[in-house]
Amino acid sequence: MTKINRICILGGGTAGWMTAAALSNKFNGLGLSIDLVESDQIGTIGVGEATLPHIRFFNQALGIDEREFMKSTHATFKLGIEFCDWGQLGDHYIHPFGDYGFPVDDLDFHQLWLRLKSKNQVPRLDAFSYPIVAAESGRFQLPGPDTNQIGSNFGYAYQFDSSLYAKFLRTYCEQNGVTRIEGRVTSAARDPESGDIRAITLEDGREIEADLYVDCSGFRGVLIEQALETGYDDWSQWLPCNRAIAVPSEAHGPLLPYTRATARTAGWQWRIPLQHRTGNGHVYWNEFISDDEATAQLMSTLEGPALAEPKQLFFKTGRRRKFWNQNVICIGLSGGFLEPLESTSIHLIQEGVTALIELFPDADINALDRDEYNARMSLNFERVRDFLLLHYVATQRDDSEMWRYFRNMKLPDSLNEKIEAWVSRGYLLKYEFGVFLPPSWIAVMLGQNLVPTGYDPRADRFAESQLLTELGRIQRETVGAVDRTPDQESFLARYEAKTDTARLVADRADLRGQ
Amino acid sequence: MTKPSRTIVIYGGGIAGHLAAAACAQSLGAAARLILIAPGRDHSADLLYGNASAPTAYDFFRSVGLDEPTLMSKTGSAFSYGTQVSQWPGTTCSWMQAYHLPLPVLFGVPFQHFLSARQERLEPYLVSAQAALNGVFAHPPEDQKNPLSRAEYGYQFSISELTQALIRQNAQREIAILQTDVREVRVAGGQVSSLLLENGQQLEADLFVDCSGPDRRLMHALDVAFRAERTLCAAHETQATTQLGPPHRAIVANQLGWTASTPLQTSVERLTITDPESAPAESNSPHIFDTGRLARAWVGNCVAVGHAAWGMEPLTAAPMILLQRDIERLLDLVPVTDKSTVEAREFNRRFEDDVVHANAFQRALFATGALPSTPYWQAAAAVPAGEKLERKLAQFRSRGIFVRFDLEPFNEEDWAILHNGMGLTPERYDRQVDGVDAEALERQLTGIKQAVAQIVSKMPPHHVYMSNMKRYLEKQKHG
Repeated sequence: MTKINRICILGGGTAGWMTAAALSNKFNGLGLSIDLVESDQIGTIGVGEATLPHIRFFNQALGIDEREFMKSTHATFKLGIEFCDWGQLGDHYIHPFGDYGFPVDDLDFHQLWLRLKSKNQVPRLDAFSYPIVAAESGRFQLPGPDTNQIGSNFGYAYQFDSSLYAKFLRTYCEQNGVTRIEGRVTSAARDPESGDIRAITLEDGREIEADLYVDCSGFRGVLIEQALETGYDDWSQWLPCNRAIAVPSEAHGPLLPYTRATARTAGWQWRIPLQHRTGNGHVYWNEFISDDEATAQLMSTLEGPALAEPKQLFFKTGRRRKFWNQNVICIGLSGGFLEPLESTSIHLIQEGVTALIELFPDADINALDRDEYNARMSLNFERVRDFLLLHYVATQRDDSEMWRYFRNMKLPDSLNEKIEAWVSRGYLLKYEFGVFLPPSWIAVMLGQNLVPTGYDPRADRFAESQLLTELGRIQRETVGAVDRTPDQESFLARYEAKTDTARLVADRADLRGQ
Repeated sequence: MTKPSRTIVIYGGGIAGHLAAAACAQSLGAAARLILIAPGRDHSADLLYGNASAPTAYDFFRSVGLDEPTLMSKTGSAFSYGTQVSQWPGTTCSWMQAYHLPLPVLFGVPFQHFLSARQERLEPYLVSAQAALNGVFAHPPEDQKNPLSRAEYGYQFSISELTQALIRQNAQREIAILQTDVREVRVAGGQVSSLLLENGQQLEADLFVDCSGPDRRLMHALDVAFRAERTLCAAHETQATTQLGPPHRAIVANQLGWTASTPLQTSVERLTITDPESAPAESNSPHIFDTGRLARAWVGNCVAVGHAAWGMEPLTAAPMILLQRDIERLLDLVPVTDKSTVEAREFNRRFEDDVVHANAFQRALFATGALPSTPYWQAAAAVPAGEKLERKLAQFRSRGIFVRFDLEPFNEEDWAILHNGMGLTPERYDRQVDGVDAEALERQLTGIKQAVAQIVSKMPPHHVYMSNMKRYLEKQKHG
C-alpha cells in the first residue's frame, strides 16, 4: 500500500491553479505535498473570462474575500449572457441567472404566462425577470437574503481576467504550501507493472516523482494523452466549431453586467466587459470561413481599439474517454473542450476539482474511485453539450452553410425529447445533476423563437383576470426593484471592489503594423 | 390545437381512484370534465399501500384537501417520524429509519465520514429518530437554531379511513361519480375507444386513468405486459387501542416474512407480508399479489396509476410515495392535443425512473449477509439488485459516499440512515477527517448529541401532543 501523498499538478493555467488551491485548502495539514509544474515559456489559454454563479461557492470554500478577488482580477459582476442574432438576424435575448416570476402552487410561472399569451397582449417573459431587466439597464446589486422577494431571486457570477485569477490563486497556493516548479516536461516514465506514471522529467533533467498527477496541461494532455493514450471522444459532429481568434480591446461606455454572444455566419463572437478592458473573441468553423476572414470579422466589429495582436486558438470539441486514467486525472482543456458559449469552461474545471476532492484517493488507487469520477464527469460534459447544441439548432437562420448544416442535423435523442416537450406544451425535462436548470432552457428556447403551441392545462384553472393582476404586480415590482438598483460602476465603487488599474488604452505604435 | 375542455375518466373506487380524482379536480378545476367510475366492490388490495407516507406527502395531501387538521380530526391518523426495524435478518441490527433534513457538514467534511472513521452509529445524532424512540412528538419549529428544526415527519394512517375522507370530499367536488363497474373495455387502434358500463352507459374520453388496482383492467385490455418479480401474501388486522402509540411504525421480521405495526389514534394496524404459502392462519382475508411493474404505464390514451401500474412490498413508505408521484406525473402531463406521444414518452421515462429508484431502496434491505433459508427471504435475495443499486452499494462500502441519480424518491439522508442502520461500515473515510482536531471534533459531536437528547426530553408524548392539537383545532372551529 502506497499512501498517496505526493501530488504533482502539471500546468499552471486556470485549471492548474484552481486545482492546487482547492487541494491545498482541503487537505491542508495532512502531510500532502503539492507541486505545480509550469513553464513561463508556455502561454496559457485563459479559457473563457466569464463564469457561472457556482464559482462563488468555490471561492467561498477557499475563504477568498470577494472584494480582494474582484480588484485583483479586474472583475465585473455578471447577471447573464445576451445572445444576439441566434434565432433570427436582429434577435436578442438574455439568458439570466435566475427564475422568471414566481411559481403558483404546482405551476411554473411561464405556464401562466403562456396561457395569458394565447389570448392576450402580455409583456415578454423577460419583463418578469429581475436579472434581465437589471442587466439591460446596466445595473447591479447583490441579491438580498429573501429569495422570495423580487430583486433577490437571482444569482450572479463574474467576468474576469482568467490569467489574473490564476495569478491570484497562485499567491493563495504558495501561502498554503504549494511548491511551484518552473520547467517544461520532456518525458514521462511509466511503471512497467502498473502502467501508472512514475515520474516526469523536465527539460533541465530534473525528475519529479509523484503518487498522483493532475494533468492541467491544456489541449495537449501531456500525461493523459501523450503518455497514457487515453483517447478522445470527438463531438465535432454536433459542435463543429474548431478555431477561435481572441483579442482584448479598450472598454468604452458603462460597465455592463453581462456577457454577449453574437451569432455569425460560421460561428459566434463573444464580448466580455471587464473593469479595465473588454475581452473579445470569434469562435468559428474553419470549413466555412478562412482564418483571415474570421479575424477581419472580429476586428471590424470591436467596440474600441484593440489592445494586442489577435491570438489564434485551435481545438476539437469533445472529451477525453477517461477523465481519470491510471494515476492521472485531467482537469481543464486536457479533459475536454466545449466552446465557451455558456461560460462553462471554468465551471467544468470546478466540477472536476470538486469530484476529485470527494473521491480523493488515500492509499493505492481504487478502481471504484476512478469509475465514479469518470461517470460523474461524463454526465457533466454530456449535459453541457446538449445545452450548447440547443443554441445552434433552435434557430430559423439559414443564411449560411453553417446554419444549413445545423438545420439538417440529426439531434441526440436526449436533446430532441427536450425540444419536443417544450414546443408542444412548455414542459421541461427536469434533471437534478447538471449545471443548467429549467430557467436556462426556457431562456434559450423562448429567446430563439421556440414558442410552445400549448401550455399546461392546469393554468386554465385560474380566472384570467386573476392572472393578469398577478402578472401586473410582478412586472411592476420588477421595474421598481430595478429602479432602486444602482448602475454597476457605482455599485463597484460603493462595494469597494473597483480595481486600481485605469481602463487600458491602446498603444497606437504597437498596432501600427496592422 | 389546444382544446377548451377535456374529459378525463378515472376508473377505480379505491384510494388511487379517489386521490387521482381529487388531485385532478383541485389542479385542473374547470379545465377538465372529470368522471370517476367507482365500483362499490372490495378494495382490500389497497392495504398494499401500507400505512405510512413520507414527508413529501405534507404538500400533496394538503393540495387534495387532506391538510393536517383534516387528517388528525377526521381520519384518526398520526404523525410518523419513520419506521423502527428490529433484528433485521442478515444483520444483527435494529434501527430507526427516520426522516431527517440534511446532516451537518463539520469542519468542511460531510458528516458521515466522521461516523465511518469512528465506527459510530448515526442514531444518537438524529432528533427525529430519538424523538421516535422516546415516543414523543412536536412540530419542527421555524427557528433553525433549535435542533428539532432538523426533524421531518410523515403520517401514519389507515388507507380505508383516508379513502372515506376523500369520498366525502369528492362528493362535494366537480366530479361525476358513477357507482357502477365496467362491463367491457372497448379497444381500437391501441387506444381505449370507450368503456361500456354495467348500467348500460357508454363512456368516451380524452384520457382514461386506470386505477383499478392489481386487476389492471384497462391496461390488460390494451395488452400491456406486467413484469412480475415476486409473488407475496399480505394479511391485515386492526386492533383497537385506548391510547395513541409512538410516532413511528415498527417492523419485526421472522422466518416467514415480516409484520409492520402502525399506531393510529384509536388502533394499531398490523400488516404481515409472507410468501404465498405461509399466510398467517388467523388471517381471514390474505391477499396474494405480485411485485413488479408494467412495461409502460401510459399507452395511447390510457394511464395507469398506483397498483394498476406497479406492485410493491409495503416495507417502507415507497408505495405511497409512488402513488403520489404517479398522480403528480399525470398532472404534469395532462395532454394538450389529441395526440399524446410526447406525454406518454415522458411519463414512461419518469415512471421507470421512479419505480427503479424506489425498488433500489427497498431492495437494499435485502443486500445483507446470509438471509434465512425460508422461501420469503430466499425469493427476496434472488431479485437482482440492478445496476444503480450495485453502484450505490459499492461506493458506500468503498468510501462512504452516496451515488445519486436525478430526482430519486429517497434522499441522501434516507440512504445514510439505511446504510448506517444496517451496520454497513465503509472501508475508507475521507482523509480530511484526519486533519480535524480530535478534541474540537469530540466537542462538536458531543454537543450535537446532547442538544438532541435535551430537546427530546422536553417534548410531550405523541398522544398528549395529539390530544392538545385536536383540542386546539376544536376550539378554533367553534371560536
